[in-house]
Amino acid sequence: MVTPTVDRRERERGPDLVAGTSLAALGLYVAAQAVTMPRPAGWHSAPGLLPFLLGSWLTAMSAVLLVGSVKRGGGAQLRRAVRQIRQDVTVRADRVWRMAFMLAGVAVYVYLLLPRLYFEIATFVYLATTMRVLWRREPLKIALVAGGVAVALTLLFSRFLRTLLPGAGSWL
Amino acid sequence: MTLDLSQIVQPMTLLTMATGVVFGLLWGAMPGLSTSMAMALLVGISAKFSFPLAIAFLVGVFTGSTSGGEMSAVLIGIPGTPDAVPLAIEGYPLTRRGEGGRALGLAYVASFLGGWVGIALLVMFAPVIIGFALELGSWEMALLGLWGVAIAGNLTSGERPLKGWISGCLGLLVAMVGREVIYGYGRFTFNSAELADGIDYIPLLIGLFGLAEILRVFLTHESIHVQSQVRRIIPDWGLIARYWKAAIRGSVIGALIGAIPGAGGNVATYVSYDVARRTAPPDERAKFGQGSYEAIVAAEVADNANIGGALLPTLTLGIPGSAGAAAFMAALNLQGVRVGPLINQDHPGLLPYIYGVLVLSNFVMYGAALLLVRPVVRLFSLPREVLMPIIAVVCVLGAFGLNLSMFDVSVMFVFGIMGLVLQRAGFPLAPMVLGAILGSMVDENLRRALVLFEHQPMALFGRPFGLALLTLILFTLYDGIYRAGRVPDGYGTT
Repeated sequence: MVTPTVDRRERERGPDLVAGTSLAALGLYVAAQAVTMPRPAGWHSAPGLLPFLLGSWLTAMSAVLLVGSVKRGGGAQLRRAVRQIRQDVTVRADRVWRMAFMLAGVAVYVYLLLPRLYFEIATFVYLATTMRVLWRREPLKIALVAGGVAVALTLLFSRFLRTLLPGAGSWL
Repeated sequence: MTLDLSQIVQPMTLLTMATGVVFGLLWGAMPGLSTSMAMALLVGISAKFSFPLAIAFLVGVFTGSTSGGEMSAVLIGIPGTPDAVPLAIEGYPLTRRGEGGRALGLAYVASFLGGWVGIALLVMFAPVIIGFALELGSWEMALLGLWGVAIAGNLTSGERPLKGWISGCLGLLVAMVGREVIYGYGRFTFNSAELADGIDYIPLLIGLFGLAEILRVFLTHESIHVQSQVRRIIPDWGLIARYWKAAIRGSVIGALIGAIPGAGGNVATYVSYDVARRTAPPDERAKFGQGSYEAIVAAEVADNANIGGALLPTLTLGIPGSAGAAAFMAALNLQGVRVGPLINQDHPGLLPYIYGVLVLSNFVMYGAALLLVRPVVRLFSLPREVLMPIIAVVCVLGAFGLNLSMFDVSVMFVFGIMGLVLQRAGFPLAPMVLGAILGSMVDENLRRALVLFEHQPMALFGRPFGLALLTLILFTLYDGIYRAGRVPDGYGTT
């Protein structure tokens, strides 16, 4: 009988192949870097001691993950997973797109809007745009919600909690 | 910093604690918003409060959000928090049969009772563990940290402990970034001044449990339909009396699992639910999955008993019992409190104050939960498309507010993406947080111990506590490998 847990593991075999490879590479890199670190009073107190042990341990565990995945058909599963992702992107296009938009929205907010605009303006622009695209309600309702939240957060953090706000300062 | 019990009954403290409980209940009730997320986001905000108020607020949020998930689980079948999954399995069928009010009432009674057991465990065992921890040297502290990461990896990843250990190892590596404490050598800094200061674990926590969760909610969006017309909930103490064995067993399981590093309420509720199913009489067992009151009792007592249990290693050893407790520990650090064996000497009165706040917040949680059903049902209809962008702004504010640094916001952003990817690939996130918190402690103590015993390294293996911890680590690894080997495709060694 195929239990849901085993089914999940089957689905994870493909990603395990990618994860095992990349994490093993990361572990090797960490261990190699750790070896080059200075040892002023021997290896006992060397700054690279724990990173070396962790890098080696990560490499070993990732290798087990990788070998386990390959032995159980991880390559074929990965190809199936890629095909599945393509199908998912089509079938669940809306969800994937919303998630990607949300992520891109946060990136634009943090790296483009906040450094250039007052906090409340940047927050209003971010919230209004995100809600307009994801929520799809009439612009006035969105502007009211986004504006209200931007002002409320500004007042809460700058006046009540007396903290500095990120970005180019505050207007209020 | 000295605290005394009289500060608990100050009106401002009570108000702040009650606000925290209500906020937590509402937060936890919203599907997709977990206790860890609430705690992670509020750590930065709590730093702006005075010390007693910050503790009262966060303990209130911890208690409230742990119970908040029960409402959505029972009434709409969607667990508000991961801990509430067994409750959704058992409570929602009861709601569809018109018994939602009774089921929810029972869940609150069970939470209330579980909370007491957790608090009792904390009060009874904290002095014992502190006494024990004072005997530990550098070698033992390093091993204790490693055991914490190993067991968290073991318990949070089902039959795939390898993934939990990898996650914990990644967390430990995150802690290796920056100037180390003994020589001041910059590790993995890539000539960046910000990386030389290290990666703060609070933005990491907000990224993993805040941003990653927001993104995940959009990927697994489910439409919410309020099925029931529950007007009031009925706290039925008689039912608890009928299932007293499940209540006692679940409380003990919840509190003990809470005391295990990294294993939070979700592990506790699953284990307690599973044990209840296995030990239930055949007629009761047949009801599991179809709406069983015994299952509700077992899961919910464990969930709230977990709070006190999770605070036990957090406060006495500086090793967080759960992701929520890790955030609480971070909040205490921000207030200048270094948790660990010296907590009673350095901060007299702090532990009794925390116990007192826990007791009061448990009462407030019970009362507020009974009153908040109607407003919460309205909250369920709040669109996620509105809520999630607002929470994303709070994530940015939370990460920025700690050091007023946009670098921390970038850390939060990067770990948010990483958290989503790791979660989709089946890696648990709690061990990573634990690794990031304990990394510097393990590093410093390990090297110090090796220097101290440089000329007689074998003496390290002759120290009784060290030997016991080493045995525990090996047993944890063996247990994980053994369990993986028993399950088909668990990537074990067999």
